[in-house]
Amino acid sequence: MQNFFDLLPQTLVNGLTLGAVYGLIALGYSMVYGILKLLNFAHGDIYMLGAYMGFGALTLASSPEGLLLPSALVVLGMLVVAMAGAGLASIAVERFAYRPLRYAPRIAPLISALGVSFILQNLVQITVSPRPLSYGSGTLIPADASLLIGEQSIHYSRVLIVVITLTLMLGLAYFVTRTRLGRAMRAVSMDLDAAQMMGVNVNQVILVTFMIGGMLAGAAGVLVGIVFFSIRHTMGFLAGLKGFTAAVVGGIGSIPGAAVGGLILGLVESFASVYISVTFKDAIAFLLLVAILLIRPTGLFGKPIVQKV
Amino acid sequence: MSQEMPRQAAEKDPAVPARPGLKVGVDEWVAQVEGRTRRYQGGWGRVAYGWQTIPLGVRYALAILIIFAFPFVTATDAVLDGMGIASNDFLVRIGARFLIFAMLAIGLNVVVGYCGLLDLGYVAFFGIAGYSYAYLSSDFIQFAGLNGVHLPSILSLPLIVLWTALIGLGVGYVAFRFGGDYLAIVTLGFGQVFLQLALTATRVQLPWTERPVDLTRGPNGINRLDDLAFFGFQLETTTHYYLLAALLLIFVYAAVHHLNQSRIGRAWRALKDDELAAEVMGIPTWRMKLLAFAIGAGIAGLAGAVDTAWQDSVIPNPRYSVLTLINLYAMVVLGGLGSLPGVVLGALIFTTLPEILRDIQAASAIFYGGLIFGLLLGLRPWKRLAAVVVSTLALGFVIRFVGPLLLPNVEWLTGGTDYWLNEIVHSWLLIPADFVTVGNIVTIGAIVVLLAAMVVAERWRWAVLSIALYMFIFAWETRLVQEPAATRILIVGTTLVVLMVVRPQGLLGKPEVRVV
Repeated sequence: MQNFFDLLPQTLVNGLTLGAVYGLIALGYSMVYGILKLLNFAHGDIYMLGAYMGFGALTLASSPEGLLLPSALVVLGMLVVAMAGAGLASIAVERFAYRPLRYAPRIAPLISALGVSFILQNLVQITVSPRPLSYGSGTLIPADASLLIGEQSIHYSRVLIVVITLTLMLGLAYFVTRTRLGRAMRAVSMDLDAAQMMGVNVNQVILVTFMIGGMLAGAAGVLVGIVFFSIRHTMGFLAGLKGFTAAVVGGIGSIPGAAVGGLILGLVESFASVYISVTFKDAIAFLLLVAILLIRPTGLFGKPIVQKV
Repeated sequence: MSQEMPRQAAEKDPAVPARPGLKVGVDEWVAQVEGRTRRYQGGWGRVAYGWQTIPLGVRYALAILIIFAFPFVTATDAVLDGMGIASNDFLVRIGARFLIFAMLAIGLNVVVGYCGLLDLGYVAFFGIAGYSYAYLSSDFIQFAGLNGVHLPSILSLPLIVLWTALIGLGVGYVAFRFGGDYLAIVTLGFGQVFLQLALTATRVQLPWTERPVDLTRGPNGINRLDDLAFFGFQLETTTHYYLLAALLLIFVYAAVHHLNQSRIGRAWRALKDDELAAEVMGIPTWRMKLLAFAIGAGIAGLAGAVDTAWQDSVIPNPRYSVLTLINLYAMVVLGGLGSLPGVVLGALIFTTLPEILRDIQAASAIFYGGLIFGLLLGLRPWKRLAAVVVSTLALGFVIRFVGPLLLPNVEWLTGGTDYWLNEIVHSWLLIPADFVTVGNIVTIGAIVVLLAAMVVAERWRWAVLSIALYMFIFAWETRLVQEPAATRILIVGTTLVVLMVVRPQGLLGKPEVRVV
């Protein structure tokens, strides 16, 4: 049992970090699904694009001797670049790959999304590099810069990821609940046709939804790069899958649900890989998904589905 | 004024595109008749009509004849010399892969095309069959008192089909509890977990063993499997497996075709269109869905067992990865969901196209051919087409003339290379000698400009389009040709998106009718 308590804080921190990233990705999935009932399989690749945009910004801001600017400024710049780039890419995907298919059979946008995912991955592979790129360990935040809590040390990058995620989520909550556009968004997710009749510009709302989802995913990409250093053009797929799972656990379409679902998934994965077996960590996460869905078929925060006949 | 209004409204609202695929508010029968009359117009229509007039039996006999003749015709000296190859093994290999993938695609079509269930764990059944075959026909199982299991194929094949169908039932039983899109995530998770376990379950502590047991041999997979053998005849060469796969494909095709014509097929289609209405009409939807799932899984099992025996090994990645799944979906959707000939055609395209694109010359020919074909189809009034083509050519010549004047210090690539098409293009296109970075930028720029061309005002579209065209050719000649592996997938991805936007029902599928 001694071992259990030794590993506990680190496992907790790892879980929180992972959970924050999953949550950010899940939010984009969940918001888009809430409005269009569309599984946006290209979302993971938007996250990958964000990581590469952040890498581009980092390259611009660094010279062989080190960073040209203070590292806090660089991190901020990377986040801004990645969020802007990923948001724009997300808008482009919506406009050109999904909008023409809005009234097509359900499977058509799904296939289109797979196509987009292929295009983004291979475009990055061709134009940037087929090999993993590294954000460089210790260039942004020195390797020994840690927050000390009692005897445990937590690296600042982990603190950063949690703080930035919280900030972004609070910002999103403010946007959705307090602004006019946020209200329009909620209206559209309740009933697209009715919202349109009430004078909501549905196309604009959908574009904004995709943009916000893309921005959050882009930020997640940069954060992952900062914490785990290495980025790859295929990283989007698995992350997208995890984000989707998190969204479903929390109740797809629900914004707080996505955040909580991400957190749960991250914690479960990190605890399972430490205390049970790395081999079965994905299987355990999946079993958890099935269990939660069996108990609450619409996820933790989902509203029951009412079918009108 | 009043006549102008609806048209303007339709143009202004891009959310309601004028799509030929979906007819809203038209009776199904009317739509079918309309579709049929439209299908036989023009040059293509005449060919299609000629094809339709051949009796169905003759058409199928022709297809079967071609399939069976393929390995023997390609083995003749004339063909071998003509293609400049020593043996037709490579061709037969592609052929056998096509047959196996066609089988898989037919199985997926039962689940997705007929029954409308979004099964994203389909490859897992393929993989489970592969591992089952490996366990049943190799020296791998060395524990629990066994020293390798070597079941005769006549036993193991039906056993594996039954077993995968049973697993399909089980997965369906759990997954159908979550309606709609949750099915997709549960099956996707199932497929992922299967792959993860196949890759990592190398040290598993089973309750009855002393030490951890290697269940899958990880990424290396299990090899040295028995060949299939029926009634004393052992399948050894690729051609043997090709012929077996052809026989099985025909069997599966016929079985699924007749199933689809029966009460069960009608029930599936009713269920796909409207599950609630189907249930109200007394269709046992739950059982029908389970049946579709089990049949799909069983077909995947058959294909998986044959494939594994032929390959002589199971290697999980990438054969059982999502890449294969996406490939299968691409086949089914490209050919047309719910259309058996379409699905087989899709499998043919997606197994042969990547092989053709492997050769740079052929890939170039396909790229330029596709470009010209797309321009001819997409730009309808010939004036607009002419404007785009002429301005693209002019742009090329202007850049060729102005470029060296503006940038005197840059070294340019001179002359074409080995091959006439390349030579013509290179005598028109100006490429700097150090083209990698420029090519990368232009590759991304080309896509941005192309997308811009779609939203820019009609009046300027030709100009933007010709810039995009020029950039695409530049990107192709500099970067895309250099990276054939990624370019292949890029082309496949682009095809999928464009196809979905232009023709969501696939090549041979029926357009969906929405009755309002």
